[in-house]
This record gives sequence, structure tokens and C-alpha cells, in this order.
Amino acid sequence: MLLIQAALFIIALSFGAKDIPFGDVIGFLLGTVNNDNTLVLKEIRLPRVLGALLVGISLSVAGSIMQGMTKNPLASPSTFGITAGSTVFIAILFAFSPKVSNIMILLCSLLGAFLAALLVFTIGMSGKYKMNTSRIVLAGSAISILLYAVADIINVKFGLAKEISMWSNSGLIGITYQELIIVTPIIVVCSFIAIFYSKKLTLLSIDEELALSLGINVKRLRTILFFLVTFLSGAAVAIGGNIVFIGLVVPHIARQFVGKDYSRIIPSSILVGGSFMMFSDLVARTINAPNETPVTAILSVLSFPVFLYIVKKGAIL
Amino acid sequence: MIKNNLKIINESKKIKLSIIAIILLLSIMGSLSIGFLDIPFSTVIKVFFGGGTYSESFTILRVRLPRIVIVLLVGFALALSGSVLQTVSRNDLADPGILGINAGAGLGVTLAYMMLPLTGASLYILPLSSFLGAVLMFGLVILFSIERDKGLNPDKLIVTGVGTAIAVSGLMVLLINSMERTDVQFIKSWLSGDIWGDKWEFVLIVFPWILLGTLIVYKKRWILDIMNLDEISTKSVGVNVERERLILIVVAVLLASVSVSVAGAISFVGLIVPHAAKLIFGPLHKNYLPGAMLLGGTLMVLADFIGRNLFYPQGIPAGIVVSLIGAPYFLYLIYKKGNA
Repeated sequence: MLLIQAALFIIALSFGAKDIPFGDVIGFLLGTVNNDNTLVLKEIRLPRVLGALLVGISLSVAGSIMQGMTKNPLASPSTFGITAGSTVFIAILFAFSPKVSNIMILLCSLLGAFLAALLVFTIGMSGKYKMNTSRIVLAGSAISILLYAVADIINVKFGLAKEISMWSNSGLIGITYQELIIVTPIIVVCSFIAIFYSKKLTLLSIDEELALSLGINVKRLRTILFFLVTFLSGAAVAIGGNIVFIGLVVPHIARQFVGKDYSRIIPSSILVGGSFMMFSDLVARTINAPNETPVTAILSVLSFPVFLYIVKKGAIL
Repeated sequence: MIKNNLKIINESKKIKLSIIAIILLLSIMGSLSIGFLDIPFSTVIKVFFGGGTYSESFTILRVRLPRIVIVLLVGFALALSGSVLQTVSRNDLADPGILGINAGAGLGVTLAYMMLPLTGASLYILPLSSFLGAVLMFGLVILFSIERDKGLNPDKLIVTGVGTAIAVSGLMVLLINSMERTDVQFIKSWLSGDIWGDKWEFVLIVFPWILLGTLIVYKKRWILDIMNLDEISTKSVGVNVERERLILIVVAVLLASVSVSVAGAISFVGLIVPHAAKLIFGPLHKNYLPGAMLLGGTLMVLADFIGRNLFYPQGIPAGIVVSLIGAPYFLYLIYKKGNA
């Protein structure tokens, strides 16, 4: 799988509005070739592909954690409305100041993710039927619709339609190294913490009582996982905009390969998610070149069969 | 004695209906008179009797009135569609938006929009392609929600519908992206529920279908009541439930898809209005369906009115106003259901 990812990485660097021969790509990565092509690679292609990789990784890991801790096969940052929370807060930020720094975007994105997550977990998990699958998904989608409506109104009210739609539809277009430098540490550190807690997550996903009886502080574990999800989703939205489905389907694809142990699901989600996102972004760039196609559209179409399979297979717990 | 009671119930129903009708009339009057050009009530009435200046009568009769009629029809149809869907799927969280019907209709509209010049006679194809798309998509949703030997799983139906709706809107963006840049704007506004078909010709296009759907539902109002009973009693009444269910689903899809073909993806009207109507008029379909239709019309007219006037000059799509009202109510319903 690592090999596939490496191959995809090189392919994604190679194709685009301007196709670049593999020789140049490898030469660029090794630092031996230096021409016009490597300039394109360095300034445009590389940050973009790295961005796709990071977004894919963070959303997939977040999705895996959420599915494990809620025992809900349909859990993911977008189905639970967490990415919508980030979007709204970024819209509010744009409304208050026209010139915003990357750090501010990230902070708002994280705050939005946190509040939305708090809201959906409170509503969805209240009452007797805790963790009822369809109920929490409905709550998530209602919260998403509501938050997007709020974001739309902010856009209209402050005449921000251009800025916001540039930001939220463009996905990874024009991503810069500065943005990458800010989010990379968050995503990498959170992914490592997630792997560190994955054994406990597995126990939690099997049975809460079991985890308790093995001496795990379930409450603390949940809190840590909750924050991991928030940070990963918020960071992903900050650089990639709204991206749906990937956090939902990637963990299921990973499960097909490695089974139910989260200490293996999370690492393979990193590999599958990164590759999936790079591939989708590649398609988005090339399918209608030189025009860009929103990567979310590609992701929806690619993921839909997997989603139907998950539901059909009776993944509802 | 019983006859007397019935009479009282009937009268209170009439009173409630009239109150809603009055609110509806007031909002229609408000919508006619307030807007980009404020026209006093007296002039509005004068215009209806052939008076007023040219610009006044043009604004009212050619611009505002057709839009209001469309919005009203859409409200009627969505409320009715939602009521029927909630009964036949035995799930009170059902709604054409949530079940993926709107998304399928949108796909049909997009395809028609891409292949045909949408002017003149070919406009009449719009509701049909919308209906076709919705039927196919909802068929897919149902197919994936049926469990072997258990039949339709109401929870799965909704989850599949939500996923389908997201995926299909992605597909629509994909399709439209392969076309001209200007068309992206059309699909974007469609997705947010911006009433775009607001001319008299659109009224002509959708009215026959909505009338047909309404009449069929009216004819089958007793069967809907029977469906609320449990399986065994339903069978003992001697109605072929599965066949009736299918017919009613098709009618509900027709109502929703025709209205969203001109109004864009509007969620939550079909969901919250039936709830409110059941609260006011009780659970019998013959009682609450007329109320639901009136409430749906009122909600849509008000939402469109607010949307057009709140943020000048662009306004916000009616669909977004409805979401702002509907989503919190929906969350409340989910919350209440969980704590029941």
C-alpha cells in the first residue's frame, strides 16, 4: 500500500494542466534536475499534492476515530456536521476582516469544528437510545444544512460570495507552503497520538464495559479522542475547504484489508486516505483541464458506491 | 350527541383553517406590496381591478403575482408530499429532501438543462425529466433500504437518502462543471433553493401536475389512515396495501419533483409542516392534509418574502430561509424523539 501511495505521489506530481515527464519528476525529487518543469513542480504541483495527502490523511484518521468511539459506521467529520462548523466560522472571520492570516483561518476552523462537534454529540447522543445510528446522522445533516444556511447568509450580508466561494470550492487550488507549514505539525502529531491510543480505541469500539474493566479511563479516552477529531477535521478544512465522504468511506475500505483492530485500521487509513485524496485531486485537476473541477464532486461520485455498499451490508448497528 | 360532537370538531377545524388562510392572505398581500418598489395596499387592490399605472400593474401582475403563485403551489405540493411520505414509510422524519427525491429531481433538471435549450415548448419537458430523475433515484434508495425477509427498513431509508442527496449534488456539480462557466451559477442557485421559474409560463407548466397529485391524494385519504394502523388490521380491511403504497409513493415523488424543478432544492417544508399540521388538526388525514397544504403555502410565501427583502439587493434564496426555520425544529424533533 505504501508503494501504491508513493507511485500515486509521483503520478500526481507528473500530470496536470501541464504534463511533466516522470524523469523530470524523479530528478526534481532527488534534486538532480533543474529546469522549467521543476519550477512548476516546486511552486505549484508539490504543495498541492502534499496538501491533498495531508487532507486525505487527517479526514480519514478523524473518520476512523469517530467510527470507533461512536460505534457508528456512518460517522465522519462531514456526516456529523463538524466540517460545516469550520466553514461557518471561517465565513464569520471573512465577514469581520477582509484580510485574514492563515493562522486566523486555522484557529477559526478549529473553533468551529469544536463547537459543531460538541453540538452534534450532545443532541445525537442524548436520551435513552444513545448512539442511535440514523438519529445522529440526521442530527449531523440537519446541523450541516443549518450551518451552511448561516454561512450563506453571512456571505450575502457582507458581500463575501466571491471570497468564500473561492475559498470553499477551490479546495486545494493555490495552496502555499506557508499554509502547509502551519497545519502539517497538527496533522502529523494528531495522527501519531491517534496511533498511540488505537489499542484502547479498539477496546472501546468492542465494548465500553470491557474497556472499563481493563482499567481504561473511558471518560478521559473519549475526551482525548474528541479533541483529536476536532483538530484533525479543523486542520483539514482550513487548507482543503469542504470535503465530504472521504472520512466516511476510507475507514471502511481500510477495514476490508486489515480487519477490526484500530491499531491497524488507523495506519492503513492514513495510507488509503492519502492515496484516495491525491487520486481525486489528480482527477479534479485533469478531467477538464485547464479548468478545475471541485474535488468534492469527484469524491462524492467515487465514494457513493462504497457508501451504498456500507449501508446495504447492514452496517447499521 | 355524537353528531353534535362531530359538528363541534368540524367547526373548530373550520375556524383553524380560516385563521391559517387569513395569515396566508395577509402574507400574500404583503408580498405583493413590499419589495424593490413599495406599492401601497390600496394601489394593489386598484391594480387587480384594472387600475394603477403601467409600472405598478407590470410589477404586480407580471413580476410579483406569478412568483407568489409558484411559491404557493410549491408549498402546497411539498407539504402534501411530505405528509404522504411520512405515512407510507412509517417514519415521521421522512421528507423529499432527506430521502434523496429532491436530489434525483435535480439531476433530471441538470441533464435537461444541459441537453435542451430551456425556452418555449421544451420547458414543458422540465417537470417530466425532474420526475424521471426523482423516480429513478428514489427507486435506488428504496432498493438499498430493503432488507431480505424484513421489508423496508425506515432507518436505512433515511440514511441512504441522506447519502444519496450528498453524492448526487456532487454529481450535479461535476456535470455542470463540464459546461460553460455561467451555468455553474444556475446549478448553485438551484441547490440553495432559489425560486428561478417565477414567470406565468412556469405556473402553467407545474399546475396540472400538482393538481393531479393533490386529487389522487384526496381520493386516497382513507387509505392513508388505514396505513397508520398496524399490519394485521391493515390486511383485514381488505386493501391491497403494497399496491396502494407504491401508488402513493409515486404521487409523493411527482409532487415533490415537479415543485423542485421550478423552485430548486427546498428541504424541511415537507418535514416540519406535516408535524405542525398533525399537532393542530389531529392525526386523521382528511383533517390535517388541507391544513398542512395551507401551512406549507404560508411558510413558503413568508420564506420567499423574507428572503427577497432581508438583504438588499441580492436577497437570500427561499430554501435557505426555510432551512433556518426548519433545521432547528427538526433538531428539536430528533432530540425529543430520543428522550421520549
